[in-house]
Amino acid sequence: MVEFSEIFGVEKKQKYGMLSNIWFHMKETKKWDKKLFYYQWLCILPNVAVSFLETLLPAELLRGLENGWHIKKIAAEIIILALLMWIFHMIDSGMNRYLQCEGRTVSFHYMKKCFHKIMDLDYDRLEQEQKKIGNTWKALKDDYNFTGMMLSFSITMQALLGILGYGFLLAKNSIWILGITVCSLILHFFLLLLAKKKHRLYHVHLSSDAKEAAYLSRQSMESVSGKDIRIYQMADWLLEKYQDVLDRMDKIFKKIHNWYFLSGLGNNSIDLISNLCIYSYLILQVSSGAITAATFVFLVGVVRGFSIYFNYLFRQMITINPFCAAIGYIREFLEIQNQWKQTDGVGEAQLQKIAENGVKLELRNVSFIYPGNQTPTLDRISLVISPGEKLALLGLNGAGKTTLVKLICGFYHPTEGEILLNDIPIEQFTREEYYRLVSVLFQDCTMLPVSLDENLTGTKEMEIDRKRLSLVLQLSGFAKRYEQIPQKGNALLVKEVHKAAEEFSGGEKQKLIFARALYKAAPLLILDEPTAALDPIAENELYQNYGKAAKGRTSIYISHRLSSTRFCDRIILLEHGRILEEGTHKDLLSANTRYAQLFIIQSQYYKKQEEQRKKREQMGDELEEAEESKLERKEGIFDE
Amino acid sequence: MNRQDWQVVWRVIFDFSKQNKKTMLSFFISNVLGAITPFITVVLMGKLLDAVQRQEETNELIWLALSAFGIQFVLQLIIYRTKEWYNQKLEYMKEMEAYRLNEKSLLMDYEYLEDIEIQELRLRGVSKTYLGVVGQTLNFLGEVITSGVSISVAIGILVPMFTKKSPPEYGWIGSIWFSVLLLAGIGALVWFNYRRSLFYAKEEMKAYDKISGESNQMKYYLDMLAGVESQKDLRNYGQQKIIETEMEQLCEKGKNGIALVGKNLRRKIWLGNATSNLSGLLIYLFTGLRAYVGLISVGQVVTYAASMIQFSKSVSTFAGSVGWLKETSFACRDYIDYMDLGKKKYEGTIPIEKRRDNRFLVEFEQVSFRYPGTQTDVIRNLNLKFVIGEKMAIVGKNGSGKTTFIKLLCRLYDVTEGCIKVNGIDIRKYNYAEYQRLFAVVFQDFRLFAFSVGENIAASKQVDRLRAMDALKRAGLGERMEHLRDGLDTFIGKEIHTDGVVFSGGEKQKMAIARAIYKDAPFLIMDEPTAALDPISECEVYAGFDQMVGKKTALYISHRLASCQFCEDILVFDQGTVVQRGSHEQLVKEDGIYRKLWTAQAQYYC
Repeated sequence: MVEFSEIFGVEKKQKYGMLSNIWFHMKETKKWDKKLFYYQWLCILPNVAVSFLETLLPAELLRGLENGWHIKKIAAEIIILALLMWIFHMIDSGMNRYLQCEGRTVSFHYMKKCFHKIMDLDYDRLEQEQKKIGNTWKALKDDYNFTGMMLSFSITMQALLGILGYGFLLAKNSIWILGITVCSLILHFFLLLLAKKKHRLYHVHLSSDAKEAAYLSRQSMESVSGKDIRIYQMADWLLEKYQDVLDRMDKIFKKIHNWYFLSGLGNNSIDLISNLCIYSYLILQVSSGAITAATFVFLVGVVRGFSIYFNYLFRQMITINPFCAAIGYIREFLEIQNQWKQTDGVGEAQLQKIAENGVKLELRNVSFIYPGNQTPTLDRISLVISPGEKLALLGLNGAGKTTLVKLICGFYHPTEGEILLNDIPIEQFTREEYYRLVSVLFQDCTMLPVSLDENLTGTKEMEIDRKRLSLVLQLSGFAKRYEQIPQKGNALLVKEVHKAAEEFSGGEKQKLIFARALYKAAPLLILDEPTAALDPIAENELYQNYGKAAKGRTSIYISHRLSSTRFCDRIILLEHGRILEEGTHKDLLSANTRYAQLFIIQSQYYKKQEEQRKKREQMGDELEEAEESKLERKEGIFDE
Repeated sequence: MNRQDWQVVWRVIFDFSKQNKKTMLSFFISNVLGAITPFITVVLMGKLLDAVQRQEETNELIWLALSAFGIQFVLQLIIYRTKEWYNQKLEYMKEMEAYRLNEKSLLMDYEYLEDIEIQELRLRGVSKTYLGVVGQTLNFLGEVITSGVSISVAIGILVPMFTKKSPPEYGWIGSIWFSVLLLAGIGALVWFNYRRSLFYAKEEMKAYDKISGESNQMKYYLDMLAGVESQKDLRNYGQQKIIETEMEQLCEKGKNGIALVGKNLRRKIWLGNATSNLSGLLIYLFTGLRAYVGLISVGQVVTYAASMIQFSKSVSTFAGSVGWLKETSFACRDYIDYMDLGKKKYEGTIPIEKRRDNRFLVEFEQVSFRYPGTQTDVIRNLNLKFVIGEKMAIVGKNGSGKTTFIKLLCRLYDVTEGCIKVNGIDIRKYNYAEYQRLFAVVFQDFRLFAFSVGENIAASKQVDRLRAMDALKRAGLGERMEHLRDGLDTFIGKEIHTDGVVFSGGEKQKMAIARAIYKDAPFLIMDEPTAALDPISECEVYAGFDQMVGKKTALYISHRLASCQFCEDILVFDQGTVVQRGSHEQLVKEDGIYRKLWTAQAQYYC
């Protein structure tokens, strides 16, 4: 929200130069809206013409008066000039506003392009290119980048034409004035450049302060932080922090603007001197009769016009940079290449066959190292899941479960080894083919601001398989909530976009995405912690329905709660990126395994109660104390 | 701009200037002088030309120029200085404004934070304006001032032209009525322009509002796609197609909407151009005529013509900036509405009775509660009595009202019906700040801030380092702290400080607990502290919890029933009220929700 008006982090030199970016942008605008392209060029001449006519008009009036023209002639000339000025003015401002206003829609064009690109990128590229994406998105967010680029181009061209024209006029009349004017303008430019340089130098220090300010503002209005802030009375602390940020910012900006003031002071002095020179020269000329009053007025106007266009040029040279950078980032982003091999795929027939026969998934010696890491996150994992099998994947936080899922989904590619689906290496599928075979429930889910049904099924209303939908709603436990909504499946989601959107609690959301995962008729089903936000009864219901829901599908159930393993055919325990143990619940529990340890830790309280209840029934309450000490000893074991 | 618009603008400026007097002074000076300086050369030119005509000494002429440029130099110097003073503040005006907004957000009633409309009030004002509400208002106000002053200076210069009595031999050209006619003509043009441009500005805004939904939606997609996390679902469920077709429609609608905006914008500009050009033409003809007959000098022609042109340009700017100011006034209204949000809560003054033994009697009497703007009661007819000083647990299904119960107890919300009493007195009558000192809560979704560990534990800039270390040790982080190079000064996370340390979920959990210990409140509440943790970390937290609670009173909410059974008193919530109460042994015998919950979990562990 309250983000500082940030220029992109200029750490690395960009791939493309300014001219190349301007040209690229021009081509893109032409694709989106031809008018935008032509107007950038067409508004150059009228703008300079207006300026010139403005200079000419008073001089012509004086000339007429001085030469004693007839009043009608003077009037006619004034009217003609004014009319011309008006026409050019209309053309210039009309085109200019078109660029300014309609030009903003170019951002739609870029957005569409970038959206398409980002949704098509390989997932791992996505993670690696976060910085590029961040910069691109920053560029997309501010549509002024696109209009600014077009306006900057036109203004630069106008300035060049204006400088040429006025420069020519000045040179024709007096090389002297041209010399003085150019000198003073160049000095101006250097002073401005100096101030800008200092600006950039100090500006670097601001980004962390700006980030902190934005962070604090965000926290101050979030309800999650709001609870803690009120309970622990942190308002004063956070405000003090914010005040510190403001003080630091003020110091930096003070330095920056003192430089601007100095540059202004310099400019002012240069102006004084150059004005005195020019006017003295002109006064001498006019009082000696070398030039007429009309020429005097005209030349003053020309000098003014000349310096105005020169200033335009300077300013554009400075302001066009961020726009070019924005375009550059977008270009570089659009050029990111996918790594997933482009294949023809395995064909529809093969997919049908897989859907009928079920999925056999095989991991052969799969290792994975995150880019930039030394140690493998997954280390030589070999595993075969046969069609229709229900596998439980267990592991503590950080054991590599999520990475494994991402590999199976094809989001990552193994550093070593390969993954096969029904004996076909998964690289041989096209991405679309492969995603049709796999349905995954992730913990973090994305809701689209469309109808609930569309979110659930991923298709438009007419194509929804109603029977299937009501079945999965039943199985997921979401049916009750679904029926409570007045508009049922037509209810829109996402409050930020639709004011009347339906909202769901954490538990409800989890049921919703479970339903969605089931609706998708993929033969391989992967569930990543689907019960984290559910209460015990809802959790139990999900366990009960799981068998029915996953019937005929190969499924992988990921969790750190051991209760979930009971309805699975086989358990895999992952630790430090390797398969530590494997087997059924019974097998693993009977041996002295890590699994058994974990199971005891989780079950001790339940066990204790159950045992106590049984024993108490038999012998009474004396046992309690003895039991307690036993438990303590048990805990001691696991602490080691 | 009607009166109310000016009022809100005035309020915003007034609020700001209270603490920024120098900035405001600089702002006024630079804008006023900025309007005056362009006229110096205009006057100079006329005077020079006249002097030339009178055939005065060249020296005199140069002196004239020198003095004019001298004045310009001084004025310009003042402008540069005041302008940079102002710009220095303008650079971070948005952040300065946010200070006041943050202050408001931090201290407002909690329920406002959960109210989307209130949130929007703040966000809308900020997002509508590039420089922030105050910055934007000042910017347009500056334009209004500059063009206003410019108009009056121009009129001042032009007055002689209209008022100068001319001998009758000049006929109608010299008559006062000719001047009046011109003035009336220009006045009519200006007025027409002003009215129309306000009208177009309104149409423009309407066009904008029409596509606000579309731009919101695009912004949502833009934000969503920037994150990696959303991309997993997107790929797996083939949502790309939905998004692309939606985007296609949105762009189409957006383009049409913007075209409508552009149409009105251009009409406004064209009309402004036409009127200012037409009045310029009239002026040239007028002065030309008068000069022709010899009524005014050549120099005056130049001065008057230039001033008149300046005048009509300024009028056009004036109309434009008033229009912009009008638009900004909507943001100003949002800002003021936000700042003026009242306290809904009644805040009493009674101090909390200090008790050594930290035993407080809490009573819920017929308490019902529903969230603002909703129909259904989250808590209904709750009657409950308990003594702070005993360990308690709360269990129940999702949505049974457990967390809401805590929020009511801590007065983050006030009850809709009934009342809550502590030691026999309605909690609303206690001093709010003092009342909150009774509680240390570790919420399910607690928040640590991206500052140092020490400050987070102390919730303040002043950290009692010994006490903070002690709290961390008791929460089970002693060893971890020893391994940190900067100890208590280590920053949490990398969000702000790149040298910060990213702590694991379990460690953060323990830090939140340490913060609760540090607060040393008589009543400690833990809400689902282990939902996201694996069994080992869960076990550690339990152990830590046991250790830290010690003799302290605790209230414990959990889905994991096993973790609550060390509590002597368990409350079972269902549909917003307590349906069962007792120890685990009692409850598990009863046929009720508790047993259902218990067996649902326990069956897998036997």
